[in-house]
Amino acid sequence: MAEDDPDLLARARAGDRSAFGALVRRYQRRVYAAALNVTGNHADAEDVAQETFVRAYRGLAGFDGRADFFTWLYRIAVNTALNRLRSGRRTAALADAGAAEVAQLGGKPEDLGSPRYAPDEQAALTQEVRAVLAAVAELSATLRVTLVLATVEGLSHRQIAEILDIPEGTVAWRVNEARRLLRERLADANGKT
Amino acid sequence: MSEPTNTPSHDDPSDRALDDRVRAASEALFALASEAKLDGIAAWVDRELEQIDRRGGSGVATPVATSLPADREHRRESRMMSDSDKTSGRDSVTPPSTKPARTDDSGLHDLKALAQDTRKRISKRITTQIDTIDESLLSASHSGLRAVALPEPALMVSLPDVPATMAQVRAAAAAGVPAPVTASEGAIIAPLARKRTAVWVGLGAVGLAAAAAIVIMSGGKKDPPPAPTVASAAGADQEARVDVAPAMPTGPAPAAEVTGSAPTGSAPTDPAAVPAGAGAGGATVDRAAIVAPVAPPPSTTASADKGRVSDGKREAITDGAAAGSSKKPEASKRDADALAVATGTAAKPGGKAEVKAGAGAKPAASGEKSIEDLLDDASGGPTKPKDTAGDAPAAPDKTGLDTGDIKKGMRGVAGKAQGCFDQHGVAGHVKVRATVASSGAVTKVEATGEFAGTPTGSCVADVVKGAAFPAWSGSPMTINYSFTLQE
Repeated sequence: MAEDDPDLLARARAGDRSAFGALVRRYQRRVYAAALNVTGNHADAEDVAQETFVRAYRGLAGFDGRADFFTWLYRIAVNTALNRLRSGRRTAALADAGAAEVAQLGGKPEDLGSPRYAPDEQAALTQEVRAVLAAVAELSATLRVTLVLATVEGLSHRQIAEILDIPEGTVAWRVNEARRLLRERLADANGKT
Repeated sequence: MSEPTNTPSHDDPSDRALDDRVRAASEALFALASEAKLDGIAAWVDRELEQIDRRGGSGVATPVATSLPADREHRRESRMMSDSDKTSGRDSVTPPSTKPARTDDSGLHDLKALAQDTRKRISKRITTQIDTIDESLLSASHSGLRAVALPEPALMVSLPDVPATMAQVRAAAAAGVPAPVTASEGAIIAPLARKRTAVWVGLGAVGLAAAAAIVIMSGGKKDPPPAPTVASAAGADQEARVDVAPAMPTGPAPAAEVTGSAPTGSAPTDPAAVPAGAGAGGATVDRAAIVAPVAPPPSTTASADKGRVSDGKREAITDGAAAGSSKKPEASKRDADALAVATGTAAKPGGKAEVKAGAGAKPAASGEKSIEDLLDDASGGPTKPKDTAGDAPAAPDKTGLDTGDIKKGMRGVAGKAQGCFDQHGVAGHVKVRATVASSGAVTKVEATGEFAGTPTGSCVADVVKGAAFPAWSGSPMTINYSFTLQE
């Protein structure tokens, strides 16, 4: 019989690494999926998922238990993924003179933080999937993350608000705004094709 | 993705359709992930946690940021291992406490371990060399500094002058003049003075008549003479207060004051020449003593270098006694300036600067602030020291922003800066470089460090533009500050 999260957490905090391992196995797919939705490629998602669990293990002492373990874990994953995007953006800016210029001039630097879909992975997807992913990738990081948490992860606005540490009203606004922009972009894409 | 949650309600069917499309796309992307890769996460994490525990105990309270480079290395390694797992068809769910994965690529581990060991050995060697160099440098610098710095101050605290000065003190006491002594010598002189008051009266006409006359001229209009020890200690206390007060980080004049009057430059020489409290320092007729009558109660904080400062002064006044000193011309000039200060005829900033420079054997100047304070005290004026020269017409008191001002100004916008996390969802330390005009307004801000050129950095920079600081007189300042955006 599977142990509950609080039991496993208590054992993990007491130094039982196997208990934390059980938590990792329980949530690794969801954390990986969340990381994938933010970063857009499997290599980064794997790194983010691994780093998330290591950070969580090291932060166990600071976890006060007020939030669900999963919510807390998700928050770490989202922030780790966003940091990953940011570091990737820096790398991209260094590698791409045009992008660096955009960043320097303060144009739209957030565009550089879009998910980096791998070409081989993209090739395996249908055109519809690619179009949707491209439209999602065009959203700003905050809108994208909020939309993914709401639609793909199916989290409630309250959970999202806890994870992102923002008011529920902001969550609702972001979701609606993301949908609006997504709809527009998908319509544009359909019009072009 | 498998746990049921209360999903947001969709009032609009088109929203539901849109969400379905997004979800389908996301799942299609997720489906490309191999099971081995997914399960490899647990195996990798377990190995990493084992290493964390081995390195630093339980790892529960270990700081997060310390292992990222190692993490990256292990992650690459893990990816390779995941691939090998995939090809070997091994069940990738690894029990957390066992380490079967190690056996798959033990050769890789050996090579890595060898590389790690070599790196450690190299780094250790380098570290040892650096330590050796540092030690030799330190010792060389230390002795070199002592060798260079000792002789000059030793001249300034020449002990043979003490008797002459004591005679001078006695003469001054007999003439009803405030008796000037330093705190250190006061310990010796004060008991003598109390016991031999009658003798002093008899010896009043003898001794250094010229010096006594000078002192009378300068101090005759002051308040009745206090006890010698009180006078000197209070003078020293005043001196210390003046030195500390204008500790501005960037303002030119206060910086000069701090530099010029700080005891650091003279500290190495004082312990040898004037042991604190031992009374070995020379007796003085100095600026501090002159202002003593209205100075605060005696303080035990009179520093040892104060004795030396006073000694330089004494050399100037007791001109003949210090005839052998190579500092004599400078001392004479200092004497003239100091006397001018004491009589209130030439309270120019350079006066004290030269006194301090000569006394501390340093070229740095002291500002006029302390002179103003001393004059106020001597004339029974304001007891509280003014921050700046009293003659300056309506200029801002400050000559720059200190740390407290900066923190206060930045805290005023810290809440808004945290709002940048709410907007952009990225936590971390956002460093900004702000240029603040002397009016206290922020004229230019840019995010630096890893947030440079990011939306979060721009957001914080915009917020900092609204920060307000106290005005000061002087040139604009550039401030580097870091905001911590928390989740």
